[in-house]
Amino acid sequence: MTSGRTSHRPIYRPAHHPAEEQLAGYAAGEMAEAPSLVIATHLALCPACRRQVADYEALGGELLSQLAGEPLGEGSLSQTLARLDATDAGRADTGRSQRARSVPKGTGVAPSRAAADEAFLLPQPLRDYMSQAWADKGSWRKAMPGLRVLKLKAEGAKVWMMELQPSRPIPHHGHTGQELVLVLSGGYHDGPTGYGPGDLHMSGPETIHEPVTDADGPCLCLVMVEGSIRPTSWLGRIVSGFMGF
Amino acid sequence: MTRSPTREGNRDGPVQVPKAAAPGTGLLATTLPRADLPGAGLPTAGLADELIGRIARKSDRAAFAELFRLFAPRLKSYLMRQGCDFSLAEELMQETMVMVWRRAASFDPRRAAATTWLFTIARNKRIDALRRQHRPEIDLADPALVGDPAPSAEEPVLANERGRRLAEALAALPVEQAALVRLAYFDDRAHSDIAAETRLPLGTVKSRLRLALVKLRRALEEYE
Repeated sequence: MTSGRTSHRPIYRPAHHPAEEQLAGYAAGEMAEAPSLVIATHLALCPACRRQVADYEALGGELLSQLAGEPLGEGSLSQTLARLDATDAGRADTGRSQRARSVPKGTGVAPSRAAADEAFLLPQPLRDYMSQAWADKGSWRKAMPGLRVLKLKAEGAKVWMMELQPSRPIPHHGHTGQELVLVLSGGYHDGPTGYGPGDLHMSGPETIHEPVTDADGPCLCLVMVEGSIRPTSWLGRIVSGFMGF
Repeated sequence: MTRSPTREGNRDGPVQVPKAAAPGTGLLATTLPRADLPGAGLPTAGLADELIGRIARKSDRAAFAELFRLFAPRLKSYLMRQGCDFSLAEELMQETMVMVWRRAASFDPRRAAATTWLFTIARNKRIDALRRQHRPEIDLADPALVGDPAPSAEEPVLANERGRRLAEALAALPVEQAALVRLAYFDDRAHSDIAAETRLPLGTVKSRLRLALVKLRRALEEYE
């Protein structure tokens, strides 16, 4: 595959996807919030994986319909009917919050030069998490020249946005748990393999790698790491310190 | 769902039955059907579509009551398998059914089967209530969403047909693979805990689960 460095996102199709059991785990609701945020953001950029998740949700429905029922509490139906009175027979309630439609100021556009040429919109649900980071007085911090990070809050693992300038190595590192990197704009190579917008790069605890951003523009990523990062170079240790690990 | 057309068995019966023994917690106990309990019959998919449609169009309480008889015992079973006790499962089941009432108009039978839609509502209710976590989800109306270049020409019957095909593929899985798939959906534990319970190496649990999932999806793809 080419991880083509096109800046026209509508025609870019991700080539690196979540594993089968990750898509199923997300559909089943058995995945923690932090990895779910990464998977869901990938889904916003990947129609093929959306179809797979729809299949796994259908599997959930099928398994539900095959379950033997539990006995209900006394007066269960009448209690529930009474609760309907308290609620609007809200035909208008589609279950989507209004905020999903509006784009809070300062969250739609990628942080700096990554946005300069495209002014693209970050997809939901990431936009909501960016909004929350701003609401919590979070800010972009310079971890080293050409690398800025913004921490996000999600249960289950460490999550942050990372913006790298072109042709920069991400310091040599390993991790004690799984690492997920989702490219939002720009791209990088890890050895011969390229990653572009929407691509999900997974690496396990055994991996030690040193990805390098592509030369033709900055790279914006969503990063999740379980456990802790083990920097394997003096530079990595400094960066990890800056990033608060 | 054609394997067990015994829905009549509980159509007119009382919704409450004597409290049965707590569900087993062992691997096999989660896989055995328990036909003695209410809701054990499998609803026909088209009926559920129609009931939700009546709720959406006419706020039809009789339709709601019928849907409740079909699904409330199963939703409660789902919630109890996730670690809810009897009364919490009852509460969350009722909240789920209220949500079904409120959101009936957003149900689109072309997009998903009724059972799928009910599953996603119960799933999200459980995540909110049990884990006190937000579930990150896409917004199909999001302008930043990358659109699907090849939307399938979906017809109302298709979602239900796919459900039937899935049921057949599930029934054709080896017992231990089907058990793992059920655990993956109904058991809020890490794969490592499941590995410990089944006395299988973690890698084996993961590879068997992946194998089973791929088989199920392949069954759908062959159908397309």
